[in-house]
Amino acid sequence: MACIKSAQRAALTALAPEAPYLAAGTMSGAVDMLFSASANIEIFRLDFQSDSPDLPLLASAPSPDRFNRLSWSRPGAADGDSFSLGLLAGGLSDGSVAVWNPLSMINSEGKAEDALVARLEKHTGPVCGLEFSELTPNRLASGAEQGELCIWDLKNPSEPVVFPPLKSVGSSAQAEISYLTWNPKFQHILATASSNGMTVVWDLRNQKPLTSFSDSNRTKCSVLQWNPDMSTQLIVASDDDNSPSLRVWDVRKTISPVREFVGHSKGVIAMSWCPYDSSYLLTCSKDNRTICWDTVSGEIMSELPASSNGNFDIHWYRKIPGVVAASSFDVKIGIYNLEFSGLYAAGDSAIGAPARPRAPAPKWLKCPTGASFGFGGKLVSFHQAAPTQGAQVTTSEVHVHNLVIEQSLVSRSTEFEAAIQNGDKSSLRALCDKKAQESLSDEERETWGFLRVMFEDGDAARTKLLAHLGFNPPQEQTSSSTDELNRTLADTLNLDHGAPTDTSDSQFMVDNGEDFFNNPQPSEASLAEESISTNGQQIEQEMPVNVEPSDLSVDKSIQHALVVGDYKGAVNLCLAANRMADALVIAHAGGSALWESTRNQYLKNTVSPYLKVVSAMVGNDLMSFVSTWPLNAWKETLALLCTFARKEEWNVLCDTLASRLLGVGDTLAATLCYICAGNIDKAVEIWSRDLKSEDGGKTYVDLLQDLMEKTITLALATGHKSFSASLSKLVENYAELLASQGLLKTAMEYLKLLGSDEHSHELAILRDRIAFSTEENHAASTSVHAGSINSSAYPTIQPSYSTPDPSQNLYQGTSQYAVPSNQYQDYQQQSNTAYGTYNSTYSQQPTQMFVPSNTTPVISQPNATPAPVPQQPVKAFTPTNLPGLKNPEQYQQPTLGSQLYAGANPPYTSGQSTPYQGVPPTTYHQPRPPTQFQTVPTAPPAVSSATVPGTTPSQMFPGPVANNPTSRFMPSNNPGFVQRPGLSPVQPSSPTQAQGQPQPVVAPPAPPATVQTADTSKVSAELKPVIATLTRLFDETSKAMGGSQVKKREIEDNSRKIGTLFAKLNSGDISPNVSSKLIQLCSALDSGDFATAMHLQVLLTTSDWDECNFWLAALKRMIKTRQNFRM
Amino acid sequence: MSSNKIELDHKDMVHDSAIDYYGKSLATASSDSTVQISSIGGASAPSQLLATLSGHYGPVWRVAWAHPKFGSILASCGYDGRVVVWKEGAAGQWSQAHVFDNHKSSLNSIAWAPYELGLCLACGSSDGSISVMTMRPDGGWDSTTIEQAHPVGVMAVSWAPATALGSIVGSGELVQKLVSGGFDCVVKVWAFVNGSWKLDSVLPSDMHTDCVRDVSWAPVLGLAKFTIASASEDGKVVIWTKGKEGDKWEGKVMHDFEAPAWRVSWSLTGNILSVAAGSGDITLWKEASDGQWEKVTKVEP
Repeated sequence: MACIKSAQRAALTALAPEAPYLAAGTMSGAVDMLFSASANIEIFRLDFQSDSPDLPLLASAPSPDRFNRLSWSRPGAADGDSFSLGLLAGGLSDGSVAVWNPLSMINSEGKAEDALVARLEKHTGPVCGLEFSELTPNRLASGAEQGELCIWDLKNPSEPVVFPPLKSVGSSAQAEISYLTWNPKFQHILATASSNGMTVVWDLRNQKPLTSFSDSNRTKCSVLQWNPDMSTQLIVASDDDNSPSLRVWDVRKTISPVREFVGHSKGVIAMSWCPYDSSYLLTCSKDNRTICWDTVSGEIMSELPASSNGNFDIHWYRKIPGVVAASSFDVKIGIYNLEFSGLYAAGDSAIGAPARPRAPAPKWLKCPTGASFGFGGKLVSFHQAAPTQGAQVTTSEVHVHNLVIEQSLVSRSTEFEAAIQNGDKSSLRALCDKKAQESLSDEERETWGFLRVMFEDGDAARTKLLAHLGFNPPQEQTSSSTDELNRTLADTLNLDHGAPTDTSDSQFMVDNGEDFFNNPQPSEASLAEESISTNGQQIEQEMPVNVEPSDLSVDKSIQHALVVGDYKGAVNLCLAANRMADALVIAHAGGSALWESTRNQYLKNTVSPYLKVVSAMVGNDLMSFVSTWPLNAWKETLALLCTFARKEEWNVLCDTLASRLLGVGDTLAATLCYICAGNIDKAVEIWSRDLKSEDGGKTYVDLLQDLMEKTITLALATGHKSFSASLSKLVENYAELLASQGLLKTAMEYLKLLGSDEHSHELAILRDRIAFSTEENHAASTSVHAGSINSSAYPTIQPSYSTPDPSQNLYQGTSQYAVPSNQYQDYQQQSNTAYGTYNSTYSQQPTQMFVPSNTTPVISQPNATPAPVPQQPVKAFTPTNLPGLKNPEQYQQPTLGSQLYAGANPPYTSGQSTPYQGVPPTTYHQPRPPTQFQTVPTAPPAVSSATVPGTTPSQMFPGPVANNPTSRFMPSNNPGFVQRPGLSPVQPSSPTQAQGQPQPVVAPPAPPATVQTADTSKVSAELKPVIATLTRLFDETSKAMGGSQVKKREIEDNSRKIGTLFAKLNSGDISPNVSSKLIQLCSALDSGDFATAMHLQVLLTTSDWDECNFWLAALKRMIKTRQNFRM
Repeated sequence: MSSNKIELDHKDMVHDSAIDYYGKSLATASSDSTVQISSIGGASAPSQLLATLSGHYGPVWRVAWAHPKFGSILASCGYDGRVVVWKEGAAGQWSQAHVFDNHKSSLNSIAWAPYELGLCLACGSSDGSISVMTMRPDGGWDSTTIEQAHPVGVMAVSWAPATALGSIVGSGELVQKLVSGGFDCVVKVWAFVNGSWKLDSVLPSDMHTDCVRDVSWAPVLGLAKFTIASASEDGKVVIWTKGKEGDKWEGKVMHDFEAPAWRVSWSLTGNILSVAAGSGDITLWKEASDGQWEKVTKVEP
């Protein structure tokens, strides 16, 4: 009940009906602080936003005289926009009525003499009755002495129109009008109070009184007010100290008052009835009290703070309920907030009465209707019920609604859920196709296209991705490349006829052991030796032919370098002479290091872009390629990865490419690469950016649904089970949105996608909320009780979800995306092929076992060997039935296990194999235009050169030492050198073969034989068990070592070395002593006698090292592995 | 849209209704000085009256459920200037856990703070002040007051979400802000800074020309902006938005109902606004893609 703002004025006030302004007119009879007799009209601003306790003065204007009454009309009192704040009228002491334009006063920013727009002079005495009509704002009623009542029309203030004055007849005709007020509902009804105690209700249409009444004492009436809610009720009060009560009259029964309010002890001089709620009435009295009455019960509700001198004027502010303006004899205008506590009656607060309601709440605090949301798509609303007949109090109706606002969200979510119900790949592919068709933008269509590829089965995914990127490997070119390879292999194999020279032997000591272990290729070393010899002979033959001096000079230099074994010098000479092909050939013969450096130099100097692709391939450095290749060709980069990347590298490479694309702002391409990499978090992070901007004319909900569909689809494709924190937050928001539409079960399904790792606290909260909300309890009270217990423990105790979940397996059954076409997988498949070979061969062993051993054919073998020599070198290097990368049968089986246990492998017969079939170099999988393709032969693929076997003894030395004394091992070297003369009988036939066939300059060697690729069709019957046993041994050891990366290299090394042994067995290039020991060794292995097998291996080491050193170490390793691994 | 009528035992007008955290219970405030709690029920089970709470000496203006983390707790405020914090003990047995009677004037609005800020309650009074009561670990309550928030009376208060805009959960500081509306036609935002409440923003004051009946701060769901809705006696509902810290609040008239707009309420996801206007005109609104707000549906009883 505090005074909020005030102004130091002894003035009557009027409040603007629809604006925050207060007008003050100098009170008649008052003396201000300066003891002057001036009269002013002022306007203050009611600024409740400012903390200042002073009312800011806006305008001031002189007045012809002091005021007895002040009234502010509604807008529309006068015509024109310049009167938008209505009119301000003052009843003056000199009998005139002055009219101002308040808008003009405020706009003048100072003295506003021109704001006076009219002066009405009809009355002869002080004008105490003055009021604008609220229903017809242009009408002003004024009353003064002699009982004159005038009605003015101020529509045009400069030409006011006055109606004929109304007078009453009889003894009251001469009484002074002390107050007047318009009826709140009927614009032609007016009430006046007069000094002779008579209250008259006027009918302006008939221009005569309607009725009149007075109390028995005919006490002077000073103030009166119409009831705002009841148009027939008036309240009249007198300023006579002997009649301080307030009387409520009904104009239809004027015999006696309806009610009387008793509380004041002296005459009442001002009153105001609350326009918001007629229950409240304010009165000012000479007893210095300002009382707020409850007009229903007639009780005093509250008081304004008492002052030493009372208030003489009071008005309710029509814009803010509970705010009043009071004018005090203390020379103060105060603005008060009545605050309506209703807690204490004024007289009781002093004695500390108990708190209890004394009056009903004001109407403006009673909210009649409302609505609020609840969890699970609920809305509760209330409104007043229709009033029952005769009921005094209205009650309310309350409803709970189940809302589905986001219709599109619900339908899209339901549709999407059906599509992914079983996690079936075909239905998911159909979903992606549908989404791609419905996409409005190319970006969306491309994204869904990529997502679709993720659902292709096994190895087909990469093929489909290549096609999707616009690359299709040409079949015709593949066939052409095969033919080319055949010729290359034939040319290379012819080099076998060359004989090694003593000079070449000296190179054996130069190479280090590391090369030997990394690239052990003794057969290729032999090829190198033969190549040297062949080149020398060719040069000699050409010398008689006419040669220009410059060519002769370069040729001589190269020949000289070659003769002394200076391969590097020869290569440099060729490079200087721009003879790239010669440089590459000689480098290949000079060792792997020289070959690689020459190749790299060649690739580095070339300007052809496709050769950079070759560089990446042969160097097995796809990461560098991904990191440096131009980003605008990202599709080619991705296609390259499809063709060559290994499974374990695929994700990392795609991720790296995506990061680079993201760095330059190509978000679509980056997203597509992240999809390939299976990086859900990064892809979703990019997609989430659309949520912030809300571009594209879609609402947040639609954008979130789009995002969730792509996210879930990608999650199904990759089989991801753990999401990042931000992604979990996104799924959580989506689940919350679903819950708000009443789809509680669906929301829970999405939350389960996030797994049990607690990313966020809010996630657990939402889960608990959904679970508890969907819980079905029979007893409602039990439900409340359970909620209480559960909530009390929250969140330290994680409640178990009691909701039955019929669709629990909704997101299960998703298969991991299998990356096909990796080299390891090829190796596995080749290994399995060899295993098939083993099975087929092994099945024949029982038959062979019953064949008696015949020593006669063995004896005759030396005689038969020279005859097939011209053909055998060609056969020895033929890989058999090597599956091509594009063989669909092979790549449709994603894992070796599925192939092993399928039991549908075709029976293998080595005799049916076709030489050179399906062995294209991996280069040809790179899609290229035909013109570019034809240049490939000039850049042969890299095949690592073998190190010379001369380093074998020193490297293998520690092995035998572990098993034999040094003194025992040293003599074994001597027999090796003794074996050397045994090879000399073969040499005489070699020159004959070489001379018989011209040798091409370009001769890339064949890939080395392996366990899977070696041709064993010519192996003798007695040695076939050796092939079978060693193949099985290899398979078993490979299986045992199948885990790590290092073991894979060891498996590959074993395969190459044992393959070499197979090739020798096939060509009969094994001495009888070694053959017999191999037979015994394999018999021991078959019977599980590993000790005997190891013993025989040691014997081979000591007696036949020179012949067996290449493959013997691998054999020993395999026996040990097999021995340790008990299968 | 299906609806169920809740049979209550109130003898006078209902002034507020609130659904509990799990969507299972309903609390209503009435001029008959009581608060009633009912089960909402469903298709299988009808709703039933669970409890009638008597403790106010006059009309009850508002009810608010606390977060279940603190137990089954309900707060009510009324014309008697008191706030009663009710707590459910045994099933259906409610008792007065605490009573605040600091104010001598009508308490027109209460709101629980986000649970991240603890058990904390804001109250707006007709005397123009806002009180914020926080429960201490020892069970006592601390109270801070914003004096003269709206000198001619506070009609509504609402809390801001506790998480900052765009932050990952738990990574940022908690937001401790209030929005209030009063009889002075003004909407104000307050921030708790260095142990006391400070005026954070006065929203542009020419949007409402009559007293503000209700304010509501929207939950944050992905959108990178704060959103407040305010309803006024002049019939207008205004949507206020602010993009990030340091930006100014911008107001836009969502709709003019041409009748007093009594209540606004955001859905839990913050994308739907319900408005109660006139004598029972309840509509749901949603922001369209072009930024304009459109009516989704009219809620029929």
